[in-house]
Amino acid sequence: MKNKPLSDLMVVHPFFEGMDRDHVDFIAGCAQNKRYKAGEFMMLMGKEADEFYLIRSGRVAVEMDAGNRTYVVQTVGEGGIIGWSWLNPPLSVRYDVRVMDDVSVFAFNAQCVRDKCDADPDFGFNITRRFMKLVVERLMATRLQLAELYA
Amino acid sequence: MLDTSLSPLPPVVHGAGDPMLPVKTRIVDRKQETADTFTIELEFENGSEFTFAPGQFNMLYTFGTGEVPISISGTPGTSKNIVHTIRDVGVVTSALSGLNVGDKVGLRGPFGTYWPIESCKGKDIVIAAGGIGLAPIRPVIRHVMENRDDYGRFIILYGARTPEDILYPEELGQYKSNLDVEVWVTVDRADRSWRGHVGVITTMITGAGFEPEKVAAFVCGPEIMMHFVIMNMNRLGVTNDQIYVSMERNMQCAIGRCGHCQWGTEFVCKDGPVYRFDKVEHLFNIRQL
Ligand SMILES: Cc1cc2nc3c(=O)[nH]c(=O)nc-3n(C[C@H](O)[C@H](O)[C@H](O)COP(=O)(O)OP(=O)(O)OC[C@H]3O[C@@H](n4cnc5c(N)ncnc54)[C@H](O)[C@@H]3O)c2cc1C
Ligand code: FES
Repeated sequence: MKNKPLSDLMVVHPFFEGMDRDHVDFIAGCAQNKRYKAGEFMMLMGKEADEFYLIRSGRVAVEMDAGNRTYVVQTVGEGGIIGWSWLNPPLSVRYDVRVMDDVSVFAFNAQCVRDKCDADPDFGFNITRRFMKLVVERLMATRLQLAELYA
Repeated sequence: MLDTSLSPLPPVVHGAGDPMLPVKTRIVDRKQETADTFTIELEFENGSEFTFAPGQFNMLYTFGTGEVPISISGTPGTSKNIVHTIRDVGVVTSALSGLNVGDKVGLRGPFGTYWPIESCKGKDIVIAAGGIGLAPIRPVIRHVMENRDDYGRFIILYGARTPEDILYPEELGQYKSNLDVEVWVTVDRADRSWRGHVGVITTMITGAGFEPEKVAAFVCGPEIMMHFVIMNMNRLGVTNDQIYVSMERNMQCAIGRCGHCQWGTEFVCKDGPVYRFDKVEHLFNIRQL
């Protein structure tokens, strides 16, 4: 039996909603399937931001190590996106990402995606806009947390 | 059977027949729920029973301090026990917090409109509660649990500041163990010992994956939280006539006479506290009325 191309699997992820198939096929060249076990770290603060992830299943915690205490900033599950530090210099990871429940992800090589964004500005704009949406959502969530939503 | 409209039930007047006169109750149980929130169970000194609909509130009077509106958070219907969960935020709630089993509390009520649990039969019920907002909506949860066949999917979304601030954790755990109830709890911040979700309640609305046209949504919490929850529900296709909210305003008489609770054209004590959202959305985004 022939395996499905990765882009066929990828299109169901919410990140690709409404994206032209050409662009999905284009970015799929930078992607691979990966799995991580509960307790493993997918990303570590300070390391090079050389990958980003689209979660297919499972759940991760975005954490901030404050020396004597570790804060969970957010948990992200199926359909979520992890990593935006790969887009702009200094290209270094800003949080730790710990796997809570075994995860399966599409992992994207950041250099490869950056090169494709530079090579095809239309594609680059499409990707940037989708990450912009994510950043705005996270900013909004942070503001709500600061506003003491339940006080 | 409860009325299906959102008009207030006829006022139940205990004692001397004057709705302004508090009737004496005694605290028969007290439980500290979180660092600043506690539950008291009251009984009338004269032994009479109490009937309320989910979403209604009582005015609780502490002798020598003052009176505050507090929703009734027990199982709806008739019983001897009257349950209130209260967050200690100021003068009167702090005085209530200092009382113990055997102490007396004055009570007027029940007052106000209620969650339309009868007219929402057959619908998928989505509860979105934040912080102390779980208390006024708990009677709905208990009603749906006890009449599970009358409703479609049952989704409870609850947000709290930290894991330590989660109200009724055991009860939420029990609901979660039922296969036909979906309970999503999230906190704003946590350390690693917390295994649940971290993130604002709005992020869970998308995740819950409900079919918008079948939904009746009951939203209860601080106004800023309700605002963003409703925005996200709208984005998913839930319309404002499918959404009910519970409002809070300072109160004094609780029977529509003094005007303290005025909110635009509404007197929250008698026209509310539960509103269908499309009826009040024009008031909702106005900073100060
Ligand atoms: C219909 C209705 C139902 C309610 N149900 C409940 C309930 O089930 N449980 C419950 O704990 N509370 C409930 N409340 C809120 C409760 O009535 C108030 O917290 C209470 O009136 C505060 O009185 P106080 O004398 O303790 O505080 P005050 O001394 O009057 O206020 C002290 C400080 O607390 C702040 N404050 C006042 N009200 C609130 C509030 N609601 N939230 C946060 N800060 C506040 C004030 O701005 C002030 O800074 C309800 C209110 C309404 C209108
Ligand atoms: S509290 Fe007096 S009119 Fe509402």
